[in-house]
Amino acid sequence: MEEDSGFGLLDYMRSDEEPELGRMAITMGFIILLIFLVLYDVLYPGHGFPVVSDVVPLVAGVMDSSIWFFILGIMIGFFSLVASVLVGAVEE
Amino acid sequence: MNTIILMMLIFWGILLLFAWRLRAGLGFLGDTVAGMTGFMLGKALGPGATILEGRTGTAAMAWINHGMVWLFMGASITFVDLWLGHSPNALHSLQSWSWDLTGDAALNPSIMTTFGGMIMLLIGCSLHIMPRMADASLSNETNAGLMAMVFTGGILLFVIGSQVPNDIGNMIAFVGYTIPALAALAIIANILLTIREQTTGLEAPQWFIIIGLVGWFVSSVTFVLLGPEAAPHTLWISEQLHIGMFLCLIFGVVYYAIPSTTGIPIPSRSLIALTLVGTVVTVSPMGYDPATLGFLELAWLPLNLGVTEGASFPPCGGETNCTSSLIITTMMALSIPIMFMFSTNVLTAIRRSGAIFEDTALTLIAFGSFMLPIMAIASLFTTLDAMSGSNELSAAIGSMRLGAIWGAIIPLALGGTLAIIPDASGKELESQSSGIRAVWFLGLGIVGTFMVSMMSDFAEISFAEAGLEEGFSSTAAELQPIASVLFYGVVLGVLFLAQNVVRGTRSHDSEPEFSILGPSRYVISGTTTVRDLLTAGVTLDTVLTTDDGTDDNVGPTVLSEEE
Repeated sequence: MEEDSGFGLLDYMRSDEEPELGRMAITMGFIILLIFLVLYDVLYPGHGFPVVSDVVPLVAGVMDSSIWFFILGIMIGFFSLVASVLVGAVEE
Repeated sequence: MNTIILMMLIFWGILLLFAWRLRAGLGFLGDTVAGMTGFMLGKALGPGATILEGRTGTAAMAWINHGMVWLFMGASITFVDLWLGHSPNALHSLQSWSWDLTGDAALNPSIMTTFGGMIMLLIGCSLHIMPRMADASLSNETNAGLMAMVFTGGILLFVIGSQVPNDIGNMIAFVGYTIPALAALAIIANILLTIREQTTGLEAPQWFIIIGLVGWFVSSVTFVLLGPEAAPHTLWISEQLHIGMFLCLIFGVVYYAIPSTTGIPIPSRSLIALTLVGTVVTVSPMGYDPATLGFLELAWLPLNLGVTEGASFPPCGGETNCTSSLIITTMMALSIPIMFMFSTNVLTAIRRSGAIFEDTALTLIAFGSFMLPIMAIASLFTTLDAMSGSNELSAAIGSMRLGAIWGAIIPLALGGTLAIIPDASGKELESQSSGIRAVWFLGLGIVGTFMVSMMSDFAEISFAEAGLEEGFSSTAAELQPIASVLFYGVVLGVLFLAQNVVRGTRSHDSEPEFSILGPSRYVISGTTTVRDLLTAGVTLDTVLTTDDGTDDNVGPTVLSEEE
């Protein structure tokens, strides 16, 4: 392909602010999940989601107090702290 | 002789003897003893001595990092304990895993993890400060680093043991409580061997640290020496002396941290000396709560549970002698001016630095210093109420303990540690702005929790005074969940500060920073010395001007035109 020397199409296609690949993957995953949920509801109306419908009542039965939301936050915080310590140790 | 008087005399006597020998230059640690102790800390560990590399400064940071994680765990478990206070069965589903975390099951681990984390932070700071001020390297860096792991193992054992409600669990918890004490003993030996190399006299922060560490053990030794017969009366005094010695350690760390961070000296050396003597001579009223007796029963397991069952402060009134109560009451009351002395000295230094709300560590220290006298006075009321046996404020004693620990003691220990970290590790905090935000979380969280839970407690007290002792105030029941949710701010604050520390960035400038300036202009009246100027917070950039005495506006006040 010949190089476009003038103010043409290639100038518009050359972007220098590409989004990060990870962010793109997360966004695409979220969109695909939404499409799947809508399609599943259309194709199998009234049916529960596979696996998820079996797990949710179990979790709801165990985590029947709002303290679990706080404990979830504590666990996320704790693991992020441990992860930071481990990353720091590996770096050095 | 009266038991309490005897206990205090033994405590002061041992500390005085130790301080006298320490002032003489540790000559009592002869070469043989020093060599043997050095051998026990090093080669006697066998292969264990080679686990860690032992680079200079790594031990201090190991203790601080472990301490940060345990402090976060302490805040989290305290939050769970608060929640279980109003919803005892909130975590009943864990019973399917044979874990009965209901009622007050989280209280003992919350105490162990909170104080364990705090002590680890303070020992980490001590391992940095003592060699730095002695101008020598730590006697055995590898052993000190190894002891951080041992200490952590002990806390973990205690937490596990406290959750197993049988004799085996009690024994595991007791072992878990004893192991950290042994690790701390090794640290004391390490520090003593280090300052043995010091050619100059000990500096004030060093005195605070060494007296705090040794006094912590001496108070326990005194308790044991008086035997199980006296235990019901000496137990609480011993625990209050522990709190006093922790404060002594904290004061030492803070008195070192502020000048080393800001370049501005602590304003009054006399107040520093008075604080040291006062902390040893008085008894702290903070942190007393009969609900923590279960923790002490695990900690003193060999004493037989029956001994500590009826533990109380010395009784007074009727046919009993009130001497002990009067002595303890006086010593507790005398601790209040000591708290004010420390607070005034520290807050003045921080105000002169101009770094409040700009530097995370100094802001946290300022918050703790501000809260310290307030919590000490409030604790004096609740503790003396319990001592006198009137128990009119017994409902508020738990909230008071929480406020004193998380509102004053922990912020001071944590702030002092954060100030020392850049020097100890060569790493700055990741972000000062997020650090300040974390301090806001912590500060508002504990102040909110304290106020709301006090409102709940006094609603309950009013309900009881109205003669409705069988019921429970609905106002109190509604306020308790709010208090526990507000405490989540403390959990988040400690978490953000811990993340800020572990994600810290390598400092590019190894020289200490003195960007925080003192006063821009300072007026001198009469003759003065450079020492006085430095004490007043003057820095190299301050403009000095002289007062020539031509200010005509100043003079005697005219009371009346006729006169």
